[in-house]
Amino acid sequence: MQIQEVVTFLQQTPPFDDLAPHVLESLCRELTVVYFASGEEQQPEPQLMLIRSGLFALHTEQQRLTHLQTGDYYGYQLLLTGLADPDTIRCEEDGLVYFFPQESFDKLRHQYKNFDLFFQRLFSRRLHLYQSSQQQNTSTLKVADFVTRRTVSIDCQDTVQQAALLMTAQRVSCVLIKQDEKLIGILTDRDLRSRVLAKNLSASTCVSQVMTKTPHSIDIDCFAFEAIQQMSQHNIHHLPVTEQDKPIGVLTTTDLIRSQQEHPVFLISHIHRQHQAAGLQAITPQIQQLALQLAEQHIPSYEVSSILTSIMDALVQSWLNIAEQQLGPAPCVYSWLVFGSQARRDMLPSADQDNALLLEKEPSGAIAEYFSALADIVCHGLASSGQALCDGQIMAANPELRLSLKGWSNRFAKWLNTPDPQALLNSSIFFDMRLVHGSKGLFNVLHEDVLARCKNNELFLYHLAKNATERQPPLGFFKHFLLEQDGRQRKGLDLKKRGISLVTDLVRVYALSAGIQAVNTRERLALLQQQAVLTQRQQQNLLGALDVLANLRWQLQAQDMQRGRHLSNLLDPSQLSLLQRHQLKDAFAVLSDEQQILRQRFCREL
Amino acid sequence: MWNWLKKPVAVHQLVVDFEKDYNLDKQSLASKANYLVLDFETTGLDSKKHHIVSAGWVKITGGKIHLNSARYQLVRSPASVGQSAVIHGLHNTEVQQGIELEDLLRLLLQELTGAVLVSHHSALELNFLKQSCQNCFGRSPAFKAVDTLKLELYKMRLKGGPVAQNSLSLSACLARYHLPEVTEHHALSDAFGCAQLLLAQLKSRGTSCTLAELFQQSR
Repeated sequence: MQIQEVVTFLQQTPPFDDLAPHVLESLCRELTVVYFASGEEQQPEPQLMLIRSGLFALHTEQQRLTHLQTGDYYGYQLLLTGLADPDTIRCEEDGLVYFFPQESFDKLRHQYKNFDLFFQRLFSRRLHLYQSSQQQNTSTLKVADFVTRRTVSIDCQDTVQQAALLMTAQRVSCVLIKQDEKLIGILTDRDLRSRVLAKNLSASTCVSQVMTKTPHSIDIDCFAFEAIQQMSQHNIHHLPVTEQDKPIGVLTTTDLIRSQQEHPVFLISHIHRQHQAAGLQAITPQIQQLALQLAEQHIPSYEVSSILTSIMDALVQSWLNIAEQQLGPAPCVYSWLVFGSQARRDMLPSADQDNALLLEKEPSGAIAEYFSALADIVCHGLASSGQALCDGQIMAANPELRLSLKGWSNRFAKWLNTPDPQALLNSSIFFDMRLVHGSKGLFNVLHEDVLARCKNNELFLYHLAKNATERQPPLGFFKHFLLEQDGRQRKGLDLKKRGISLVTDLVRVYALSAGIQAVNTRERLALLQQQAVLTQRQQQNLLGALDVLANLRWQLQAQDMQRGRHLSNLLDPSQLSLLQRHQLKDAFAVLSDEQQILRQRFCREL
Repeated sequence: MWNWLKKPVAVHQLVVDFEKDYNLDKQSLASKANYLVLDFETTGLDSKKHHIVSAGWVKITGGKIHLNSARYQLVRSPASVGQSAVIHGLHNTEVQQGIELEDLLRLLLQELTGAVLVSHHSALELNFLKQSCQNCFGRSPAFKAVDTLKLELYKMRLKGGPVAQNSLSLSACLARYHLPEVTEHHALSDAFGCAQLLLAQLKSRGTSCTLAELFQQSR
């Protein structure tokens, strides 16, 4: 007979929470319970200890290492490696401990991969890389859940008229073009209109002439949000679905909209269709609702950020179109730049504007007036669409940030060659930049110029690295969380200032030192590992830490949104589950280690 | 073929054997002793009129609660559970699935060999156990028990001051030692709670405490 109280506790404690009820019930019979009084010590034994209540401290002969409390483990080192640690565990407040015999522990490790993984991660202090399998299972719908297995296809030798006839007969809005069972093109309703009729081509035109060649496609095993992501990124409405490289169906926006009203794809094309300011101003609630829906689907935060960034980009483009309609065509070529989180594609609903204009010609006279008016319309337009104006005036509406190529180049040169730490801190946001609209050529010249100046600029990198390590993760000496207050008198862990920003800042230093063009932190990490600037272990650690932090912040902000509260970055650690608490601590520990490595690499005395 | 078992003489032998084997050294250390922590749910408080409906127990050896020793038994009651169902939540149909009282006693006598009986408010368990043995076997061994409630009362009286009502209930005692709550009035949960309480009480008495002292304080 199992004791319900013990089963219930294990059900809430990772990694046991992943085990089936009958496994837990028989496991419960194998454990023993011991009461420790404060001051008692326990030498390592080949048993797994799980703290049920009380407070324990881990010691070496010289010093106290860390505190263990409810839900923490000890003894797994010995069980995993067969080597006894030189440390002992001492009870500081009376409490109960559950002991699992070695056989039970080994049996579970062999039977359940995730159970084994948990303790391997715990042992290597890399718990932030552990994901409970429950999380994996519940994570969202697959493409297979949406797509109808049906393809309408024709040969590439056929004419567009045959294609049109087939589409009408089958009542579909697109047709696939196959060659040897492989997908080589796609032709849609819209293509027939814009590429055939509008161009005055004859009905006997060959489909291969007008089709979209090698179209984007997605595997049937991918997640639905990956399909959404692809469709929104490329602004397409038909996405062929493949199984083992053979087309088996087409996913359309209608399929997705049918399942949910607010959809990124839907919303982005909606934004693109707006030619009046009023239509764009009414969009805020829809963005909010979309964000909430993404939250409910447990979509990872980097995907959410990426989708939100796509939407914000679409808003910029639409506002620029409206401005150009009002003001007439631009007097010279320009590029609309974004900085910071929008450039890195890691925006959240709370993000404000960080943008600027890069002009082909010097801003003077009529040119200056035109772009001043353009920037005003766009910046205030974005504000009316829900993207708040920037407190720090990092906006195109600020004349300081409407510069020619030469102007920008000089500005960067000043920051780079005479780095004044404070000025550098304020300007670090500019080193993450991306083009949203306008001339790509113009932007590339500037971006390459800046990257070339950063690379191997030791003094600049020294200051940048120093700034990046100024703020430390909020972990105390005994691995407890250090809380702080925000302006609204809430107390907690600042996940942005003392978490995500630390990763971003750190990765930026490496990326600039290696002249990497990418600005997205995940992409930067991948490239840094490819170029052997970071080891694979470093890259995985940082990525894992970033995911833990970003997902927690996203959860937090989704909760705030649901309750209609001000969006905050402050996390109350008492709200965390046991696993989350472990993961967060490990993520912070990774940041501490990596900051130290960064300092050693860039901050040695020059 | 089981008829011989029902003969009072043969069964009486069981009690005699138990008494012969049961010799505790009262001067041995309390922290090293073997315990059987027992809880009964009954149809009422009077052992002469009421019946045992369920029993739960768990063993402690070497200062550790061994969960593989945890047992829970429903006991077939000759009378209706009546109003007591409100307390323990067991209904007639469930209770009728249980084992015979005599079988429960056989199990308990076996388990108790070499172990000290422990209960919270042990008077109830002792009375029911003795009365049941009397009824089934014609005689009851002279059971003795450690009472976690009395151990707690003893500590409180040492400290002085009034003893508040309810401050000696199992849940109140567990809370005082910051021990996890248990589902009350489930025989096994209560036995487990009582076992955890005993571990805490043993620790607070130091390693030199003997069984004799525990019995003394349980009076």
